[in-house]
Amino acid sequence: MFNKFTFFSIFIAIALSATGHEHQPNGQSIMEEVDTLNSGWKDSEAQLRMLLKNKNGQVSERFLRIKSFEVVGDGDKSLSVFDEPKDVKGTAFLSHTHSLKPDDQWLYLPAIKRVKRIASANKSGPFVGSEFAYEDLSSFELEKYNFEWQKNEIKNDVTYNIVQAIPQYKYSGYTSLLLSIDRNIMRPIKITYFDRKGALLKTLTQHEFKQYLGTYWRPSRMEMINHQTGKSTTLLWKNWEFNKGLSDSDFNKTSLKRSR
Amino acid sequence: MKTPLDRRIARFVFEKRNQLATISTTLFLIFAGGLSNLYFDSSYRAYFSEENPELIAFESMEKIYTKEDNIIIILKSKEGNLFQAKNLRPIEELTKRTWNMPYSIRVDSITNFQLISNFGETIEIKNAVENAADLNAGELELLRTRLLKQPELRNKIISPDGKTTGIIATVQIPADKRTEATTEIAQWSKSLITNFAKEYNTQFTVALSGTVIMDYTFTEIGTQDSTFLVPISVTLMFVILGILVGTFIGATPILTITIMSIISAMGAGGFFNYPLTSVTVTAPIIILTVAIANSVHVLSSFLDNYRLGKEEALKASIQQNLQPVFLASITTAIGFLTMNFSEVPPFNHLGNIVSIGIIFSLIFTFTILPIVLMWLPVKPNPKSNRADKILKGTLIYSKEIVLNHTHPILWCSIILITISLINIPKNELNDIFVHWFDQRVDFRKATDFMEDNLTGIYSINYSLDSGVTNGINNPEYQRDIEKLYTWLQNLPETVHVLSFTTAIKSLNKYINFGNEQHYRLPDSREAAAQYLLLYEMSLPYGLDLNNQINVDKSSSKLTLTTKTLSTKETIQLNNKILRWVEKNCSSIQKVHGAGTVLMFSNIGERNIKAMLVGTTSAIFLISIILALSLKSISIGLISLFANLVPAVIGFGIWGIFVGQVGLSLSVVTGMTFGIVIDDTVHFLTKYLKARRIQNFSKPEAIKFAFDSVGKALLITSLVLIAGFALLTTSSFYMNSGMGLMTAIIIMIALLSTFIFLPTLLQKGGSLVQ
Repeated sequence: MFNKFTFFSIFIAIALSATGHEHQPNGQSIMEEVDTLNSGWKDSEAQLRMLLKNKNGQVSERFLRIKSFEVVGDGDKSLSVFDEPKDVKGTAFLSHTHSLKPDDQWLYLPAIKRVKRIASANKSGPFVGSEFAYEDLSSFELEKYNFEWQKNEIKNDVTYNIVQAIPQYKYSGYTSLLLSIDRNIMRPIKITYFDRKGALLKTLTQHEFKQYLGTYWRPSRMEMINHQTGKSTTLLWKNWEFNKGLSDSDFNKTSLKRSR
Repeated sequence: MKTPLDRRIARFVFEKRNQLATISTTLFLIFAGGLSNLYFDSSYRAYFSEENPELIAFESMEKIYTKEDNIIIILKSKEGNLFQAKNLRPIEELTKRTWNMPYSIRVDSITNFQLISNFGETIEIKNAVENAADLNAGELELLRTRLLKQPELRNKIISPDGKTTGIIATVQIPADKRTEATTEIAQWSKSLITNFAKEYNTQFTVALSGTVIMDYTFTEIGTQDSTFLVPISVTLMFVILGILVGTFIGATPILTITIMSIISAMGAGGFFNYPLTSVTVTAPIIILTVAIANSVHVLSSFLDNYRLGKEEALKASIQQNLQPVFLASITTAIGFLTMNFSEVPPFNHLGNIVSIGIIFSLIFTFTILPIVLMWLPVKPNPKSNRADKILKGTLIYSKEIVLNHTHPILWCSIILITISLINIPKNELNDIFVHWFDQRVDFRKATDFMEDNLTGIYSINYSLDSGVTNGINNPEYQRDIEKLYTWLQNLPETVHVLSFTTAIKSLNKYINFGNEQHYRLPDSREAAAQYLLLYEMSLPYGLDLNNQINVDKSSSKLTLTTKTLSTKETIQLNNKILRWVEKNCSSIQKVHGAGTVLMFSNIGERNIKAMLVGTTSAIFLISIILALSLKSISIGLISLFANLVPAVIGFGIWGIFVGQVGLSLSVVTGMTFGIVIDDTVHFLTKYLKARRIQNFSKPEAIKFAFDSVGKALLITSLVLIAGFALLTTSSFYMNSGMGLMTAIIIMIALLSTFIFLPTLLQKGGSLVQ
């Protein structure tokens, strides 16, 4: 039932939110834009070299091949195969990611020639001993976070949206993330992670972005520094390929065994 | 004839007293400025120099794996069974809350322990307890059976009887703000458990331990000692002085310049960037005690000569005291400087601060005290009070004994010294560093509680290096660790052993469908590596293996928790383990142990060796100075002997009644030697003056020495004994033990000066140069 008063309040509310919009960009809409611009890549393949460094400066390497498959309406699927270290060569990891429930994960262990399903709610643990948590590397889905715009920064004529992301997944290792979105490419170039007690934990910086298919920007180098332990991890990506015509069947349990 | 040097200096000091006072005051103001540089270093790491090999090993292990600083919350079920929903729910909740601890990077408890299980091909790795409130009796019983058997937990995080558990938080403290962070964490934890204990006081007994709490306790006790003991000792000194000297107005300037010396010395420490530690906070009390002696001699002579008129009395006092006080100060300072030989930086700092304080007190005694004495209406107390009567009586009595019973005294002394010498070896070098805090201290109570109910408090980490990248996957390496693990489990000292191989065995079992026969190490390195990969992928934030395995997987860490051991036992155990590994584990290329307990054990041993060298050289140096200034070698030897006796008897008594010598006592000998020699210096100066200038016979000269310095010596000794005795009230053993031993030695030294020294002088001591 409409009366004058409700009509008036709705009008005011719209007017207010409109003016608010002009001065205060909305975190959610910025991230929706980021998400939209990064949609439609269908599938991709790349090679990854990981460099793990401890406080003493000792370095250790891991080599992986990663295939990804875009899923509309749910988290993406990915298949990672280890090439190095030698002891885990051929070990393959399949994951069907989800936003707010535990991912489905399988691991093929060549030593016993078996596929094991991993039932774990944890996405917050370190990925193969690195400073990247599994949740840092799994697919970006809007539903995983609540976003809030903080401010804009301008450096060297580039505008950055600083957006705070609050994880919605119960088992996330973080209370919040601070994303720095480069308006030119609409990708986060820096992410700061805050741990469960709200203390600064890690900083990720992404470098040497390249554009693929004229649309999709991917970093060639990612640096993650753990401020609490002094350890760091570098990810070096090469040979990005898109649209290889991969299908859903390349990302199931049976494909896992032959993925070597 | 030329006036002797000391006469000329004395005249200069007297005549230029106003200018000198100005210079001294300026000096004081400059040094006082250093006070603002002082800061408190709470860490136990402050007890180790940067070059300390065990600290280096410890810190390098921390860099390879993870930091070792922790907080341990101990929870004991009052009913006796933790595995009830009403008990597990609060533990689960407290574990979650502990994650919010400032600087925490890891929290381990029975509820978040990552339990492995399988359902067919599915491997599940998750918190052992999730939503404890929903668990039924059957699930609880199952959980109890599984967790009590878990080798990672049993005797470390849960007691085998299922009554007591611990929540261990690992914290990463930034090096540049250690003290603030320690305080923040400790206070946060205290309020956490206070609230928890309030809420669940019918269910749990709660205690708080861990290295951060130990560090915090160091600070707390340091602050307690300095805020509580310092004002008390100042008051006590004032009262004792006032009574003994017979004039409270006279005692005031003495106290003033002593406090000025303390401020200047602490300021100097600030300029040197010395951190305040629980050891260095005793510096003010020690300076107060030691430095008072200087001014007492000047005041005492001033009062004795008062009848000559104020100015003359002052002049006479300066003249009589300049040389002996100078000598006494220098020897005392040298005694304290021997602390520089110690391996423990806080003792170096204490020695230097006190030495500087003594030198300042020497300066102030002759530059500021004179003008203050002239200003103030200081005069001797006309009526002899009771204290004075007692002092005089004591002196007359000792004089009589010494002069009439030479032989019995000598025989008694020889017997006493022999008994002492026999008992000195009973002193064993032994520090149990947790026992540095006495039973009044919460940390000590909590730690004792933890030891009685849950686990050991000492742990040593062994870094086992395979020498090759990914070498930890080698089955041979894992079998070697397993051998070591089993061997360690059977040692009587062992409480708990932690190694990553237990997880590997568990993984092997559940990957093989829970078959108990597969609870063993995998046969191939690939299997080991892949199981570990599976495991690592399933662990949540903060519960990874980075604290046990290094980055290129070439080495792993094994943690041994032991019962409370003495320093000697610890070193022996460590050596035994290292030898065993070398002999039995061929795949382990390098092994080294590290841990606070090893640091404290080794430093104790090295410290004592260093102090022996330091003390011996100081004794020689002081004796040479003494012989030179007294211009007689045989008198020098007599005094050396008379001054060694107190330490010998002191340590003899200690050997009979206590028998354990720790870090703090190892620095006592050099220090007390410097202090007790003062009595001899003053006594001998007077004695020799009487013999040489007045040509007195030996007994007459002894009488003369008694009459001129006896009272001052009694007063200063009583002040010293009172001051060091006050330190015994500290709940920190480093301070209380040192205080007690020093007080004992000074008491014996007083007896030695009054009885033993004169007896020796009667028997020998040529005046020849």
